[in-house]
Amino acid sequence: MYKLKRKSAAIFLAALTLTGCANMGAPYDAQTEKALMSLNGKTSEILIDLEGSQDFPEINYKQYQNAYKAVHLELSNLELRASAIPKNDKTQKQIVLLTKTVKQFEALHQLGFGKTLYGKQEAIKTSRLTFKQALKAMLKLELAKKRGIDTSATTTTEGS
Amino acid sequence: MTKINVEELTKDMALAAKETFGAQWPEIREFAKSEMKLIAEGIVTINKLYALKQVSKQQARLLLEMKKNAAEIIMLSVRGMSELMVEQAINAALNVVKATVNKSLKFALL
Repeated sequence: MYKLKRKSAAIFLAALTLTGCANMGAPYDAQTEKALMSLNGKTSEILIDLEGSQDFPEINYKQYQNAYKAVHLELSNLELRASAIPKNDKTQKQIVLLTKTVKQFEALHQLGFGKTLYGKQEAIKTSRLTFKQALKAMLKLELAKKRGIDTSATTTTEGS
Repeated sequence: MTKINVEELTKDMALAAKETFGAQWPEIREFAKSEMKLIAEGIVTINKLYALKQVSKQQARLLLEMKKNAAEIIMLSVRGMSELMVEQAINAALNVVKATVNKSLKFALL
């Protein structure tokens, strides 16, 4: 148990060092950080709502279309902003990948997520974890830029 | 269905990624291994759901693609990792377990 904890701590510290000590090239952007938090809120809202939904097998995709539209609009705005920041290739690529993931999740929604209630619940649970991991990594990258510029700001984030 | 397990998949995937990362490997080893484990866990979960007929082939593929994107996003947040390097490492890692995973599922997930 102690050994396992020590290993997890080592991985966590390695991740923090790798993401945290670097000057990533692009400057920190407060709007990007804010947009990422907002995206986390919007995607979580959809996922939590779906997790609690007992509408199987007819989970009404149409009911969620506006929520997906709002997520796509924010992603589009974020992509535009990220592209206007110099040396911001990594963040731009992450946004492209996140947009792709949202589209895939939407396609999964249109397919009813799973063939059974258990399948549906597990697919939503797995997707929620996927979004959480992706958004956390994007936030980590943005916060690392902040630390790279202002070393007195000792913001830390949770490990993956 | 042949059983696949997280540990074996992680080990094979990390070995494949190690070759892509080359000289950078010692610096990122622990991080890369934990990321490979995340993908491996995803593959095993999807495999289990498909085997139990809980998800269709199309649903399984979408779940895997989402996992793959997330892994790429996570690895891009690491210092010194280029887009190309991350893409190559993930592709190499998936390629090395492709035969085992597809054989286990009896369809081309990867």
